[in-house]
Amino acid sequence: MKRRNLLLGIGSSMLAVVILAAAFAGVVSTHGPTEQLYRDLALAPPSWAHSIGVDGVGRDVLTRILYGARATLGIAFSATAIAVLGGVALGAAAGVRRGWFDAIVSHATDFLLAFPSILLGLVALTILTPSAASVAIAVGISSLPTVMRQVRAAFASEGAKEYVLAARATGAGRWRIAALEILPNCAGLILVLTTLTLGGAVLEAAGLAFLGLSGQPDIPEWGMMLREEQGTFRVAPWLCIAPGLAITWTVLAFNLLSDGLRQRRRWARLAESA
Amino acid sequence: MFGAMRAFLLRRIGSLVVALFVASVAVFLLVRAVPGDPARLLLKNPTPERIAAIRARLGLDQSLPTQYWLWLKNALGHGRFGESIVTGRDVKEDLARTWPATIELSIVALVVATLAGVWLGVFCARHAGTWKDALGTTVSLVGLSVPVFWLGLLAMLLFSLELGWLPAGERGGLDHLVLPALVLATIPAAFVARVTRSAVLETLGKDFIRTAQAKGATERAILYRHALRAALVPIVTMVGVEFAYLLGGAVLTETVFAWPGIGRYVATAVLARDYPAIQGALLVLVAMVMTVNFAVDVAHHALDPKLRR
Repeated sequence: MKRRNLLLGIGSSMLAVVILAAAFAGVVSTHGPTEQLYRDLALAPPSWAHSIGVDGVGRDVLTRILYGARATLGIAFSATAIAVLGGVALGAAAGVRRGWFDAIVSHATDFLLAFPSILLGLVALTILTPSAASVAIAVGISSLPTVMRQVRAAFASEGAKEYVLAARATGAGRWRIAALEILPNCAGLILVLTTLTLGGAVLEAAGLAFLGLSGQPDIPEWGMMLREEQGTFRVAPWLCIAPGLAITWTVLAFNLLSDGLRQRRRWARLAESA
Repeated sequence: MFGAMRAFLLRRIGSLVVALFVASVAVFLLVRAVPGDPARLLLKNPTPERIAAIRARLGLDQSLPTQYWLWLKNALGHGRFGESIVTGRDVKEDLARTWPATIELSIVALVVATLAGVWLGVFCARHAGTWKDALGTTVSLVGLSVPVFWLGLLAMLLFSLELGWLPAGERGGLDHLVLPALVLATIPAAFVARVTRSAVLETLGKDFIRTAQAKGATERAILYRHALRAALVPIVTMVGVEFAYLLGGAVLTETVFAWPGIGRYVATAVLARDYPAIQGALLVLVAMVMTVNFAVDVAHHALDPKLRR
């Protein structure tokens, strides 16, 4: 009882920090994330004026980390929107309709689930032109199969329950039942899957950016910062430590939220293996 | 019993063949899905003569199924994926060199992750509800949340550059393997720990455990001989999932540690839009994933008495 509140509490406070950083990046910092104002201070260690130091080309690192929260949350939320909306629609349709449609969709997701999602993201990025939007789409598509499988299983098992039979007895159509009866009962599961996907999306987007596939060097993103600064980490280790800590912090926040939600909702057990 | 096993094997091999076919079609269509002329995408310096030659070889003037068939015959029959657009080297040779490096790294990481994960999971289940459980659960949750490339950079900074204990990357003797394998094992280990913890906790509540306790078995014997054995099926099933995590992590870990494996190869190929290399590497990766999943399914079937009938 006490513990679940703890997980949810810590997770949401940690996430609040990230959201505040993203929202007030322009207020905390007086200049832009790409302005090279401190070239004479290049690679300077943390100080009062620059609390995480200055990078190799004279940019304030704290400013870049704060603006990085914007980029990261933007990509993570758009990717998750794609994965959850697409996954719920496909999963619900497969779970309700069954038959050949279910067979095809289920086999396809089983097949895709055998592959690491970053590899699916890489494949998607071979077709799309590199940009933040492409990364969001790639991450969204590669996270979709997990959501779809869980939602399909939930819809299929809920479909056999008595309240569904009762609704059917009153003459309701199966899509109406799916939308009005089953979907509200799966809200908790979908919430758990959403938080899980958000955490995974932050990690995967950072990984793709670290590989150099985010395409836009003018938008600071934590994975890309790590890529740029890995060469200087011997002389200025804080340049590498800060973005990595920021990623871990954000992913941990989402994972804590999903663990907390999972303990709270009895039937979110379905999402246990995810 | 053997009849059931044979039927299972036949069915599983059938689905393996279908999956490989679908994967090969997807890899083939990948280049066709990119806007532009495939002949130009597949060549380093597209002179008119070379474009004409590759058009003939790929059968670009023929129907899509014929093109696919030609491509598959070249790829599988002769291992001919073409030349890398970036280096001009034969992709086949690159693949032959890189995939064993990835297998070596992944197998060591798989063993480390499974042992460490099972140990941590049993440790947490044994001390369920105490501060030790909370500590172990927190460790595994953090392990799941850390970006593997960052962990690799930090490990390299500390153990190679500052302390000088281990080499900072590239393939070589056993000492070269330590850091990348440990880093790569982190996320799967955390994952295995979580699954093991809940699987062992679940079996600890079962009747046969109470029987074992009643007949006076020691706590250690109950944990390792009874509870862990019953929890073995979900843990073995995990190995397939683990392997997917490992290959995904390998793309990043190999990049950090300059490990000459197929993960780094495919990452640089995608970055350079080196389509012949991408296609070849993807086919090899698909084959690796499918083989492991096949082996896991067979092991799962052999281990789980419920499936034997």
